[in-house]
Amino acid sequence: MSVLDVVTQTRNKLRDVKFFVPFASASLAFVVGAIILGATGVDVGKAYTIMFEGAFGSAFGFGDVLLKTTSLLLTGLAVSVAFRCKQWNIGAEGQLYMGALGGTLVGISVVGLIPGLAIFLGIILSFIFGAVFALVPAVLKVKFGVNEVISTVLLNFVAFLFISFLLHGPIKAPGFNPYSPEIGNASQMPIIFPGTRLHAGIIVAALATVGVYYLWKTKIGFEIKSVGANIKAARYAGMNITKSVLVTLAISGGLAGIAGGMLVSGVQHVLIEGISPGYGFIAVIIALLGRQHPIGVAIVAFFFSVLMTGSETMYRSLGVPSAFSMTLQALVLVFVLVGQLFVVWLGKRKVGGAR
Amino acid sequence: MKLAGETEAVIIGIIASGIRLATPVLFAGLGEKIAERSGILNLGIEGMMLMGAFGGFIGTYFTGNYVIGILLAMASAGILAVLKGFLSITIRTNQLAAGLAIWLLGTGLAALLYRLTFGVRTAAPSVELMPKIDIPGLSNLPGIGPILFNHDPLVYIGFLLVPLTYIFIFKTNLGLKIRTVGENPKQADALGVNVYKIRYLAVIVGGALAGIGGAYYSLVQTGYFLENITGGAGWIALALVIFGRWKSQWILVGALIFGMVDAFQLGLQALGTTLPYQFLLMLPYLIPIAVLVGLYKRTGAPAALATPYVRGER
Repeated sequence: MSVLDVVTQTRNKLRDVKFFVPFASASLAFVVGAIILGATGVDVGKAYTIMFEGAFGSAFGFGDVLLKTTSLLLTGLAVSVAFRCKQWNIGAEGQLYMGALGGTLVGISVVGLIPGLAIFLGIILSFIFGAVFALVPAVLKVKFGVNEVISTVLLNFVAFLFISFLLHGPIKAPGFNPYSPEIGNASQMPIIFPGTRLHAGIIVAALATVGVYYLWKTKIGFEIKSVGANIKAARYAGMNITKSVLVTLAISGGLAGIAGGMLVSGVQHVLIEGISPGYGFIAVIIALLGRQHPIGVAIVAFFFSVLMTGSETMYRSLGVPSAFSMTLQALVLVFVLVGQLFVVWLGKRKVGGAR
Repeated sequence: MKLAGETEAVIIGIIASGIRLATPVLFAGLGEKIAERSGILNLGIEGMMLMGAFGGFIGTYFTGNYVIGILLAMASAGILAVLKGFLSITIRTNQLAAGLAIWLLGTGLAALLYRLTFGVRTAAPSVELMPKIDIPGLSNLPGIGPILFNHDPLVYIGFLLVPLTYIFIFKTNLGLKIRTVGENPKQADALGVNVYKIRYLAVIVGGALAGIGGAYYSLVQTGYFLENITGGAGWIALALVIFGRWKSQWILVGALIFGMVDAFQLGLQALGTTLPYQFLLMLPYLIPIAVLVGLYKRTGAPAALATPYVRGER
């Protein structure tokens, strides 16, 4: 056996290991989750069974899984597009809220329009609202060198407060609660599977996934990727860095905005203060785990949606708090980060041994 | 001149409360400064502060002893710091990703452990607020007394930490090691400094201080633990470190500006201003951004910040 054969063989073996490491890492997160639950006296077997049943045990449950996938996928794509350009947009949650506002404004003002057009307009305006809100940190970064991690995070709070202000005053519906008026029927996303809450937004999210996939094959997409991969080389190649950063964050904020708009048009039909349970924050984990690839993001978004839906059932039947799903998601990220390095380490060791 | 006296009392009240509001971000900012001086960027402060708020709360709730509460707050945040160190120093994952993971883990874990400990209750469990300590002789001084010398112990400790961290970083052997590791880890290694050990130490000290900052919210400001009780203070602390250009005295200035603005908006709310309170509440989040705009292109970051060190690699 020549040296080359040995190298090829180890590589193949390595590829197998590589494939399983993320799954093994994710499973370890569940083990740690079980330890935390077990330590506080929760029946772990029962808890995980209920979690699984909640997500897959009924049409309604599975519909909810896909419903949450819609939001997680869009926000996950939003963050992943930014990360691909090394723009650390941690503001997807705020951009989502601004998008929800954009969608609401269309929904309460164009009541008489034909349904298809009203929904389309709602999506467009929620994209624009999210994009413009993301352009604020983008401009601050390219003009004044303001670190976007900090500005995007802090602007989330500004968005929450701005929405709160509007819901307590300018766009408040009559009545006690700080809700906006209900959006018109024409702006409401149709339910695509009777007996569930699943609406046509999942199709929009799927289209966005395909769109991002093809974005990377366009000229601007290539420029964005190049800026992310090596900003000096991109500048040397004559690429317009400022334009790349602005376009990236506009697309990123816009996608998060659509997620918000569809929470109004597809689920609540009114704008409320706590319209998102933190989708924009969880999206950060999703983008990192999905390796900023649209297919990877889609898989992780679905998996996390199962966790979230299952956790809700766990809360209803066992009283396990909903924070469990966020803890589990963060643990998955930690273990997968460790797992990735394990693969690298394994590679070094094996190739070294073959020499 | 009764009116003038009242105005004076209001102003003194606002300044004193501004100092209290500055304290938690001061703790977290000074801690993060130490970590960043060693080259570790920690985006997980918010999560560490939340764990600190939780640890401080249960420690005090079950023992009635604030010292145990604070120690538990430091330990709870410190455990996350060890994990952050493991991810960023030992296995060298992307420091931003590691920090974000710590943030979300701390956020989820603090809320989860709180609910698992106390369950759902009609009345939220609470602890008595940490008592104030008057500095004898000084607290009765007109004006200055109530502003500076009539606070809870953590305020005094936080302000003492400003010179102490300065001396620690610039005048001690260990501080020199931390700075060298943050500026030029290769050189530090050549001089026989254990880069990994120093970085772990700096991250853990930073985490423990963030933990105290978090506990300030549950033990001094509210007496309760609430999900997301820190309200983004960890991120404000990060902005403070950049604003303060990694120097204790400027981090203090930044924290005081933040605290005063926050106290001012609370005061305006109490006075029943017609300005919608949401816009006032935005100020604490907008001011750090505005300050970073003002600092255009002036940095001073440690040269090896957010760069992992690999021993023996050229």
